[in-house]
Amino acid sequence: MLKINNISVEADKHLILDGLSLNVEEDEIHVIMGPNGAGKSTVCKAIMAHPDYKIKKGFIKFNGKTISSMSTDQISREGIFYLMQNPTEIPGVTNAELLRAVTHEVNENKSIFEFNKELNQICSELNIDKSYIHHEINMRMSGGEKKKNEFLQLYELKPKLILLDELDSGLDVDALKDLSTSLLKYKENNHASIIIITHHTNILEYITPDHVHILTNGKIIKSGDAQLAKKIEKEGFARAIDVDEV
Amino acid sequence: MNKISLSSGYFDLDRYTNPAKLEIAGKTTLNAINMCTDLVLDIHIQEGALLVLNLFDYNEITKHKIRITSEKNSKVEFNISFIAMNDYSLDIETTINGDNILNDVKIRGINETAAVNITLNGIALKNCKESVINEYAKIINTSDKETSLVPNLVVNTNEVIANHGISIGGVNEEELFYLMCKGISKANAIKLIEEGFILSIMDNELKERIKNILLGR
Repeated sequence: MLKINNISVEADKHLILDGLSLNVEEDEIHVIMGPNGAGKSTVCKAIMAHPDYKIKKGFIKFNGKTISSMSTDQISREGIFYLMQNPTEIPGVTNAELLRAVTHEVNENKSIFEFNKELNQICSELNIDKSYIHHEINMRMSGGEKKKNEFLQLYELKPKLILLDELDSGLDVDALKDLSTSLLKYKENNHASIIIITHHTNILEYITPDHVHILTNGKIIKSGDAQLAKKIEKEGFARAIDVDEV
Repeated sequence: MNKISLSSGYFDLDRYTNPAKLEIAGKTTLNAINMCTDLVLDIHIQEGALLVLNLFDYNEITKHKIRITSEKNSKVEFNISFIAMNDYSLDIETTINGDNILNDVKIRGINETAAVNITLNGIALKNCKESVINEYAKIINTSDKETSLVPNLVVNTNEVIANHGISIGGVNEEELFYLMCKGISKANAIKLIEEGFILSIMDNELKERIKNILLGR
């Protein structure tokens, strides 16, 4: 599904990722952990072709297509959803307008009635207020409300790969549990893959990953299963990394 | 003189009329999708009155001169949004003439092709107390012509708070990235951001009408 092959990424002339490789198959959950400044968020930004992050070496393929030469909107339309750590606020533009604009981009022939019905169903499913549909994107929302708002978009856009950058930041325990449940339900129904970026293991109380990777100094230096996350939680990053694997 | 008196209600300014003087009493909301190319407005806010004035401009050529004089215990919320399709000139002057007055002016504009010239004057007359003047203007400028935005505060008393803030810049890059991350092309994302930017200070009812006008943009 997703193949990141030996990429080096620069931002503001600083090398952030240095020869990073990662393979994610359908229906898999991968967690990328690492200390602050390791370059975890850069992985998402590089996949989504953020204009400030330049891939200097290597390539990224998604379902056989080289997406590292595509624009951000094309990458998204290939089926990748990026949930930012702090979702951007957009004054004057509602969720409905955003989602309607996306349906126009993909020439999806959906009537307004059908569209509204779908969004209402999603709100019920996610147990969020229907006023979110016509709410200005992430404006005047708490951290938790912003993440719920993003889930409304996620459910409507139906991606095949979800990138979650620090989902747990700004969420209380109940909200994290609810969103984790919604995420797993989505994955189960759509066979989606998920990459979770985190430096805490809070989210892993509710989601069991297939693979856990430790990222430091722009490289994945150790990979394992869910046990590796537990080891990190218990011993910290430094001790979880075996010296001979560095 | 073409004089209109408005008191306690919700009104539309006919888009082709050009009243010289408006007298405002009570709580009044005035919405205007302006089609006048040369609007001259002299607005007098009577003692204790509240005016919410939402003005949207989408004209070929526009040259406006708007004067607002506020008497004591009054409040004005003046929101102007515009898309400059050709040369655009706006001259606004708000005067505080008494105590306990709030004059709040917000301007949001898009300049795609024109030369834009805006002057904002906030005046507090002598002996006014406990009053506030706010002037905030933001322009998204994608034109290679000049955008000029001049805020002036003339305060003749030390018991008035006067603020102004202006910015002229391009489309916010993070907003653009966010919308493109959802699958919207760059051109359509810019259009959404620009329209959201100017609509965000407008009255809800007016927003829908403006959206209809902008459909063919």
